[in-house]
Formats: sequence, structure tokens, C-alpha cells
Amino acid sequence: MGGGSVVAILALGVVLTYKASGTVNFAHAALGMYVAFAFYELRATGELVLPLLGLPDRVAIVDRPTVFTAMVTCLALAAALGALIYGLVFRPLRRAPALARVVASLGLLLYFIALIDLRFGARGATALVIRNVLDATVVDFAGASVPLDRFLLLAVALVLTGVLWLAYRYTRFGLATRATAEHEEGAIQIGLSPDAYGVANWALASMLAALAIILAAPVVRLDPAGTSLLIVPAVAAALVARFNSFVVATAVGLAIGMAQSEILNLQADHAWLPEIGLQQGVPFLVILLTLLVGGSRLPHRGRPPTRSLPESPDPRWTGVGVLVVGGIAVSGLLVLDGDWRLGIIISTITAVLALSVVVVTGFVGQISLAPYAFAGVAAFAMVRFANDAGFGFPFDALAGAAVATTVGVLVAIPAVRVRGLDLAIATLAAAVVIEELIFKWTWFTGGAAGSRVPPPELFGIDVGIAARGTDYPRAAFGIVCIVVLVVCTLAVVGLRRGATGRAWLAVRADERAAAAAGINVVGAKISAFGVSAFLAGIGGTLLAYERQILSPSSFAVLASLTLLAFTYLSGIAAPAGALLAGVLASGGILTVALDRIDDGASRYQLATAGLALVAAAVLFPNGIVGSLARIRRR
Amino acid sequence: MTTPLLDVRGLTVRYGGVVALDGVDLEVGAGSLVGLIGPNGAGKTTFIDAVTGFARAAGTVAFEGRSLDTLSPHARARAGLARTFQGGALFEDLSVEDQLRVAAERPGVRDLLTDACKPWRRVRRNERVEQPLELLGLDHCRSTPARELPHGTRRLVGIARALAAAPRLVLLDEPAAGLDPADRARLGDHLRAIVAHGASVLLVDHDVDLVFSVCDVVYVLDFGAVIVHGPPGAVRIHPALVEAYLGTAVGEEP
Repeated sequence: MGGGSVVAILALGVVLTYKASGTVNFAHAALGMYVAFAFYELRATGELVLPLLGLPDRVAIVDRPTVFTAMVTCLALAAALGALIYGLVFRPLRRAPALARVVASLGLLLYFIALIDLRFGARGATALVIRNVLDATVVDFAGASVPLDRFLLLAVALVLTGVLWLAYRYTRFGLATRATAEHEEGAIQIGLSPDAYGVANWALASMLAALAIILAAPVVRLDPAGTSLLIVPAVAAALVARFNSFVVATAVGLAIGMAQSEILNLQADHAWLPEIGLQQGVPFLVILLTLLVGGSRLPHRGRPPTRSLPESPDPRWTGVGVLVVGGIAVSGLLVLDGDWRLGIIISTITAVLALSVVVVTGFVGQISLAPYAFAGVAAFAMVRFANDAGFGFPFDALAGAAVATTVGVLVAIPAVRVRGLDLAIATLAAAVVIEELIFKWTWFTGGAAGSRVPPPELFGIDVGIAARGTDYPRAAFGIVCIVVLVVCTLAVVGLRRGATGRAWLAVRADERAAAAAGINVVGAKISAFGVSAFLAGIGGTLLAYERQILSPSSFAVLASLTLLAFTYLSGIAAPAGALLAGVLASGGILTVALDRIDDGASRYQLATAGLALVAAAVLFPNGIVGSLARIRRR
Repeated sequence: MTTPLLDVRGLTVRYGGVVALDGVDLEVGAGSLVGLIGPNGAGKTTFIDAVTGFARAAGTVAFEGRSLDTLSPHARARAGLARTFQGGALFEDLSVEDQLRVAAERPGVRDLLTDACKPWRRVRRNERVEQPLELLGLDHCRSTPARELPHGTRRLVGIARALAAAPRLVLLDEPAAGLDPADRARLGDHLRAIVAHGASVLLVDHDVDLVFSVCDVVYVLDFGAVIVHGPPGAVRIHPALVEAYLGTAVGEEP
């Protein structure tokens, strides 16, 4: 119930920001998470943790703030942040394609997570003293002892829903926001300022997010990544509400929370139910199905986007470039020490995964938030092929990637019925379903025993990563990864330069015109999803070899979001962008280099990347590689 | 009598309660240039949408004696029916040549596998691309991205892309809109050249002079129904045409 209430309040904020600016803000819960950290730190120390790098870490407010003082300060902070984010990021992006707005909010999500990491270190929420704000006396309810704060939280959710419903139905403010959301030009004509309403709604939504997570912190576990990902059920609830109805959003948010605990009870009562993540997976399966059966859920806005998608320059030289880069990387593996070798290996594997994003999102414009889910499917399947069917390397990896391709196509067949943000949310839901229902399904993963990844062997030689002492990580494994990356990059360059790539870009530019030219639009999208899932699968098997022990957490949703973010920043429509994304990724070559320059410098990498991503979405949508190509053409 | 290339019978399109097309019958014979004119909102674009599969319609559309009614837009395009769009609807990222290649190639899964194996492929000359480029005089801008083209050229590229699909029939949606008089005159020549190369044309346009000067048969659409059709000479002086465009003259007997 506590979880359901917080999801419900977050969903209200998601609906508000959508109404005000047509944006689904994936950083909504992350912002609340940051303010909640700030709140409890302020209560304990009297110091406010500031959200911007460059400013002082924290400022002293008062010695022993009361709950009231701390709450007012933090809600004001949330409101200011919301207004700032709207003004600097989402207002400039209001004419941008869905992709730019999604990645901008992903950039903010990563920034807030990284910020908490920087300010609170590895201890995270354990550094905080979380004292109940709401009364948590245990009361008797229907024969069970329940802490009172669950009910109070529910009451807060219901009251907020009621107030918003009334305000949006009966006041001029609500009417004006609805008018500006329906048709911005029309609203301006009759003298309304979309900016003022945008700022007000964003400030309000941010305060809701902060309030929800501050109040719920004693109930739900507060941790940077986990709490930020409460956005996933919240967006799902908002989606069912068509990003319009506060009442439905709250109802569905509560239902998701309740379904989760209900299914937990069912699993305890009925031993025959498979031991998988039903309580997380089932609600999302339902949402995925409603989305896909019902078609588009998002209400249309008055004007189509006028800014175009990232350019896709002819990657003629990338084919040559990747051979050179591959050669340099191999020499690096042979002469450099273990830290560098691991950095090169991680960058190489990430680049393979990023190629999968370039194909489906860069070339065909379909936002997929599930690459790591496909990677995980391939990794777990590979281990089964190796252990149970006796497949040797590289056939086990290829078979695993083939399974990922199949799953990718199966997800794509219904998913390509929807577009833009709808598709992004559908793939996000699919990723959660795969994570919960497949990765936690012992029959498929082989349980604890199935998690050990057999090292790859070529012609009887061990090319696995594991080696003794300073030989770890083994250079031979790195070389295998680099060869795979070079082959995959050349294949993607070939696709882009051939008839397939032209058809993909045509579909991205204009689906109606592509169909009129005889292109099977649905077929083109499904083929791109298939190729993308295959590449993600190959990357996933390499990741499995690198980790040596498989765990679902290696393929979690946050990894997919981060991958999309880094690929967009680097240049999402160019194969070279995938290579650069690998270099920039956390744990990759840049991380090692930064730490060599100044120990600990890499701590700022993720926060900087998050901000850079926001800047990329607003200022240079072609990404680093695309912008360079543009400069060279001039 | 031979079967016409395109044979449309009783085509009806409803948007909600509005009847956009009301039982339209229209024929395009092989090798002919047929015009379709009518005031704004008469249903000309809806007619093209319905024939090419972009709008759900009742009635029958037969092409080369074969029913198209169950086919999706891309399948109709592959059957030999090409069209242009009012705004041009070019693929902004692609060069003029690549735009045409998209229509000429139509890759399948086999092509996907061969493409993946050829990162350094030399782009082979494709006659289906070269012919329209030459016919419409677009050779000079073949490598220009669509977003950098001037308006008049964009119109021609839209037509060239439709021709690159090697269609039996091209449906042109207001190709002359926004062109200057010189470009319009050239467009008339281009249309005759297209027909001379073996394709038929259905021309929808507001430029009544252009339509009457190049077409063999002209249909006039008003409020979703064909009010008159026949050779241009007969249609041009038909009272129904005048009425559709100008309304009933004041003081005229009903």
C-alpha cells in the first residue's frame, strides 16, 4: 500500500508535466529522490545539499530545522529545480522529436543518480538518518497490524488527486493548462502564456515528486538508482490514464502497488506458481498488452515536431576507421597493464551494445529502451546452450544471440504498432517483463548453478577473461572482443550504405512516403529490431564472458537507459557514434584515463555525462560524431 | 472494349459523419493522361489516398484487371501504383539519388544479409534511378540532400521518386502548386514525356489551364462526387464546371 501510494503520487506528477509540456519526464522520480536525500540530510545536519556541480556542495540553513522548516525549504528547492529544468531544457525542446526529449530526461536521471553518488559516496542512503515524518504507530486493521503511516500516505495520495482533479476541472488555471496543451498557438492567440503555465506545472509536479519520496522514504527503500526507477511503474500508471486523468493515474498506481503484494501472497499460498518475479512482471505485462492492443495512448498535440532527427552521415570511412581503431586497441591490449586492458574490454563490449541502439533508434528512429534485456536473454540462453547442449564457443554465443533475435522480433511485431514515446514506454515495459519473468525464471536461467559462465575456448586455447595475478584480464579475451566489434561495425556500416539502410532511413523520415514508395514499413521496423536484438545479444554474450558469473542485475533497465544516453551523446545515427559511446562509457577507456590523470577524477564522469547529454539534446542533436561530420562538410 | 488500367467503381470514403467521397467512378486507360479537378475540399486528395490504400474506403479499385481492395499501401505500390504527396514528403536526410533508390530497390531479408557483408560496396548504377533523373533534368542535384533543395526542384524530385518505382500509373497530387509559370510550362512537357515512356498519369491539380492543356480526359469532382467527365474540350465549356467553381450566377433562372 505504501509503495502503491508513492507510485500514485509520482504518476500524478508525470501526468502534470505531460499536460504542461508534452514530455514524459523520466527524471521525475530521480528529482524527488535527490530532494528526499537533501531533506533527511538537512534534518540531521542543518545543511542543504545543493544540486549543481560547481556550486558549494552544501550550505548551512539553520542548526536544528524542524520538519516544517525542512519541508518548506526542500519543497521550495524542488519547485525551483522543476522551473529551472522546464525553462532550460524542456521549453527549448518543445518542438523537438520525442527522442530528444526522452534522452534529455534520461540525462537528468543519470545526473541526479550521479550527484547523490558524489555527495553521499558509496554509503548512499545508509549515510542518512531517516526519521518518520508521518505518524508510524502500529494500528490494528482487519486483523493485521499495520503502521499508521501507510494509511496517511494513502490519504495524502487521495487528497492530492482530489485537489488536482478539482483544480483542473473547475479553475481557470486548469483550463488554461489544458488549452495550452491542446494547442499552443491557439492559446497564445487568446492571450495565455504557455511559458507561465509550463513553469507553474513543472514546479508543482516537482514538489509532488519530492513530497512523495520524502514521505515514503521510511516505507520504500531509499537508494539512488532504485528510487529513481520508481518512474517506471509511475509512467505505466500515467500511460493507462492516457496522460490525462489524475483519478485513473492514482487508481492504477495504487493497483500496481497492491497487485505486487497480492501476487506475493499468492506465491506463498500456491507453490505451483513458478518462482519468478511475478509481482513486478505481471502488472507490466498487463500494461504492455493494453498499450499494444489499444494502439496509441498518448493524446496528440496540436503541432508536429519541426526539428528533425539526428543526421546520419554516410559512414564510408568508418569501415576503415574501425580497422585502425581495432588495431590500436589490440596493440594496447598487448602492451598495457591490467587496468587499461579491462577498460579497453569494457569499452569494446559497450560499443557492440551501442551498435544495437544505432541500428534501431539511430537509423529507423524507433526508441527502444530494452537493449540490455535482449543482451541478457542471449547471455542466459548461451549458458544453457553451452552447459546443456554442449555447444562450444563461438556457437553457444551465436545460438544465444539467435534466441535474443527471436525475442526481439516477437517484441517488435506488436510494438511497431505504436510510435515515439508510446514505443519508448512499451519497450521499457517489455524490458521489465523480460527482467522479471525471464531472468528470474529458474527453468530458463538454470538457477544458481546456471549462473557460472563457461570460459570460451578457441582451438583448445582458453580465451576467457580469467587469468592469474597480473595476467587478468587476459589479452586474448580482449582481442576476441575487438574482432567481434570490428565485424559488427563493418556489418552495420554495410547495412547503412546498402539498400536496407536507405529503406530504414526512409521509414525514419516519413512512414507514409516510404509506404508509397513500396517499402514495407512494418517489415523494415521489425527487421531493424531483429538486427538490433542480435547485436545486443552478441554484446550480452561478451558481457557474460567478462562477468564470468551471470546475474540479472547486469542486464537491468538502468543499464539500457544509460546506454541510450551515451549513444545519443556520441552520435546515435552513426556507427562511429557507437565506438565513441564505448570509449565514454563508465568503466571504459575514459574512466581509466581520468583515474590515471588524477585519482578519483572519474567520479565526475557520470554526472558530467548526464549534463552533456542534456546539452546535446538541446544544442547539438546530431551528437558528437554527427556534429563533427557536419563541420567537416562545410 | 479493353479493360482500363485503373478501374474505380463506387469509391466512398467517410470521415466520421462526413462523406468525403460519394460513389466515385473513374477510369484511367493505359497510356493516357487523366485530369481530376475540383474546388477545395472536393475530395481530390482523398481520392488518391483511397486508391493508394492510405484511406479506408468502400467500393472497388481494380488495377490491370486485378482487385487492390485488400492490399496495403506498399503492396499497391509494388503492384505498379505510384503517387506523390502535396507537401512533397521527401526523405529529408537522403540525397536525391538515394530517394529514388529507395523506390527502385525495395530490399528484402536476403538483401539485409548481403548488405551486412559489403561495407565497401560500390553503388551500382541503377537504370530505374537514372531514367527519371534524366527525364526530369535532375542529374545536376543527384547528391544534394533533400532538405537543401529549392521548392520547385522538390516537386520534381517527388515525381521522380514515384517514377523510380517503374509504375504503370502515377497519381500526382498537385504537382504544380507553388511553381512559377516557367516551371509550370516545363511540368506540362515532363508529364507528356512520362506518358511517352509508357506510364499513365492521373493528375490532380488546381491549375485548370495545365490540366486542360495536357490531359486526354478530365473528371470534375465537387462535394465528393463526379459531376462531369469527358475530353477537355467538352468539359471546359460544361455549365456544371462553371457552377462548381463560381456558384450559380446571380439572377439566373434555377
